[in-house]
Amino acid sequence: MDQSGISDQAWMLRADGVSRRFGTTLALSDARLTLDRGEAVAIMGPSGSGKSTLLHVLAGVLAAEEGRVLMRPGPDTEAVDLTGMHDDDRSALRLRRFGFVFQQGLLLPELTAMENIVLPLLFQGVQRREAHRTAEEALRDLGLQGLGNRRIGQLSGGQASRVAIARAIVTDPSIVFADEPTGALDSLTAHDVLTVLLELGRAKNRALVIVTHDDRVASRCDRIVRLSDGRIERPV
Amino acid sequence: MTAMWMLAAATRRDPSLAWLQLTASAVTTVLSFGVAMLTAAFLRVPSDEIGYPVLAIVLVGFVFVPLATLGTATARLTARSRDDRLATLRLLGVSAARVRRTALAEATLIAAIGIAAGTAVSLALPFALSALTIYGQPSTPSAFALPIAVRAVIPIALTVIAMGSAMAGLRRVTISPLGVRIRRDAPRLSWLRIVLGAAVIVGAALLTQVVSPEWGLAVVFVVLALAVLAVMGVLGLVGPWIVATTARIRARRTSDGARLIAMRSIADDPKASWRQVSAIALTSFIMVPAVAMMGYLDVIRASDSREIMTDDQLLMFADARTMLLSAIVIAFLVAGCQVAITQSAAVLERRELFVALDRLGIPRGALMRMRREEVMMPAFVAVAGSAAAASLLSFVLVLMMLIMSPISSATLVLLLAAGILMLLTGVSITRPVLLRVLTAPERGE
Repeated sequence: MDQSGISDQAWMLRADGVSRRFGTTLALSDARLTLDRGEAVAIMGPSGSGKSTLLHVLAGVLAAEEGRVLMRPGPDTEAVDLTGMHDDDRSALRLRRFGFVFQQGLLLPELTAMENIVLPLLFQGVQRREAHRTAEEALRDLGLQGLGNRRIGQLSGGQASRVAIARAIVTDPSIVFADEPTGALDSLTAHDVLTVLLELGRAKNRALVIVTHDDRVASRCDRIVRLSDGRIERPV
Repeated sequence: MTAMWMLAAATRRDPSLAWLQLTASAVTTVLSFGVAMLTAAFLRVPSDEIGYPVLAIVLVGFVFVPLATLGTATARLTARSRDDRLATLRLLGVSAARVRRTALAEATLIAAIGIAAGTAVSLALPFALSALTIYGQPSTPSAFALPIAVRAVIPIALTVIAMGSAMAGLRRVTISPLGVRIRRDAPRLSWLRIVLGAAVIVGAALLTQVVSPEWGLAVVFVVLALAVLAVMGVLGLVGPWIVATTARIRARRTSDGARLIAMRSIADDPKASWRQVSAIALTSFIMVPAVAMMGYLDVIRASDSREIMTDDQLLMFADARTMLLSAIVIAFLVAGCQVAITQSAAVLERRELFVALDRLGIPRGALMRMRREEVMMPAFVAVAGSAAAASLLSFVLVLMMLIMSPISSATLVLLLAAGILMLLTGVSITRPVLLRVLTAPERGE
C-alpha cells in the first residue's frame, strides 16, 4: 500500500512530489497523487489554484520541473516515467493511452461528428474503414446513432459534448482527462454527460480525472482532490 | 485610451507578431517602390518603340494585384491577432464603434511604421537597380528617380489599403463579442461557374487567334488585354470551385488525419484558400506566354531571320527579359509573404483548436503537414490551372516553344516549380508561430 491507501498493484498513474512554475509563479508544489484503475477523481479548488496545471502535468501535456509522473498501462507492465520523456514521446503516449474532454468541446466545426471522432484513430494510423467501424460503436454507446454525418454546428450542446466524449474514448484509452467537461452545459445536460463519462469509464475499468468547480459533479466521483495555491490540501 | 493601452500591452508581451506585420508592410512598400522605379525607367527609354510603354504597363499590371493582396493580408493579420482582446473589450461593454476605432488605429499604426521603414529603405533602391542594363546601356540611379507626387502617393495608398483591410478583418469581432465559429454547413459553389468559365476561356482563346494587326495596334492591344483580363477573372471564379471539389473528394477518401482536416478546411472556405494562392495563379498565367514569347524571340535572334528585327527591338527584347525576371522575382516574393501572413493569421485565429489537437497527442509534425496541405493543394490547382488556361489562350506560341526551344520549356517548368517552392517556404517559416501558440504559458494555467 502506498501513502494514499491504494494497493501498489492497482495504481495506474502516480505523481510523486511534482512541481511546476510559470515564470516566478509556483503553480504546483510537491503534488503527490495516485490514481487507481477504474477510479474517478475530481480535482477541485478556486480559480488559479493549479487544477488545470495538475491535470496537464498528469496527462503529460506539461513536463514537471521537479518530481516524477509515472504511468503504468497494465497491472503487469512496467511503469513509464513521463517526466524525462521527449515532447514527441509524450504526444505519442497521449494519443494512444489518454483521452481528453475539454470545456468547450473543441471539436473541429468543419468536420462531421463521425470525422471528429475518428480523428485520433486516423492519427494512430488506423485505416479509414476500420476507424469508422470503431467510431460507429462509440456513437452507439453515446446514443448518437444517425448523427454521424452532421456537422458540429448542427448538433445541440449536449450532443456535441457526447461527440467530444466519443472522440476521447474511441482509442480505448487507459485514462480520460476532462477539464470542466460540463462547464458550458445546463444542469440537466451536464448530469447526463457526466453519467455517460462515469458509466463508460467504469464499464471499461478506465480511470477518469475531472477538473471541476461544481460540487455536484465532484460528489459523483470516487475521490475529491482539493487544491489551494498549488498544493494538494487533502489527498484521499 | 485604456482600450488602446490593453491592446498595446498584448503587443509588448508578444512582439514577434508585430515584427512580422511590420516586416511584411515594409517588404510590400519596398517592392511597390521597386515596381514604380522600373516602370519609370522603362518610360524614360529614348526609343520610338511602342513596346517600352507596353512593358511598363505590363509590369505594373503583373505585380499590382499581388502587392495589393499582400497589403490586405498583412492588415487582416494585425486585426485578427487581436481578436480575443477585442472581443474581451466588447464583453466589458466597450461599444462596437470604439472597438473598431481602437483596433483600426493600432493596425494602421503598425502598417504605417512598416510603410515608413520601407519608404526609407527604398531611398537606396535606385542605387541597387542601377546594376541593371536598360536599352543596352548601363543605367544610373537617376534613371529610376520618381516624381515627388508618386513618392508621396505610394505610402499613402498603401496605408489606405491597410486601413480598409483591417476594417474588413474586424467585421467578425464587432458583430459578435464571442467571436465563435458556428458555421453550420460548408458553402456549395455552383457548377455553373465551371460552365461559364469554360465558355469564357474558349471565347478568349478564339479571340486571340482571330485578332489581326490590320485592326490597328491600339485595338489589338485592347482586345488582347480584355481576353487576358476575362480569363484572369475566370480563374478567380472557377479556381475556388475546383479547389472545393478536389478537397471534398480527397477528404472522403483519405485515411490520413492531417489531410482530412486540411481538405475539410479548404472545402469550408474555398475562396479564402484560393485568395492565398491568387498571386501565384496570376504569375503562372502571365509567365507561360511571356516565357514562350522570350523563347521564340531567342530562336529568331539566333537564326538567319535575325534581320527582321531592328536594333531597337533587339534592345527592347533584352529589357523585356529583365522586366520579366524582375516581375517573377517580385511576384514570387509577394506570394511567399502572402502565404506566411495568411498562415500566421490562420494559426492565431484557431489557436484553441491547435492547442486541443496538441493535447490529444497529434504530433507537431502532423500539424505542420496539415498546414502545408492546406496551402499546397490549392497552389497546385492554381499553378496547373493557370498554366493550362494560359497555354490554351496562347497555344500557337506555347506549341512553338515546345518544338523550337526546349530550354525555354524547361525554364518555364523550373520557374513554376520555384513558385510552388516559394509557397512551401512561406508555410514553413510560420512554424515558430505555431510552436509559440502550442507552448504559450496560458495553455497550462
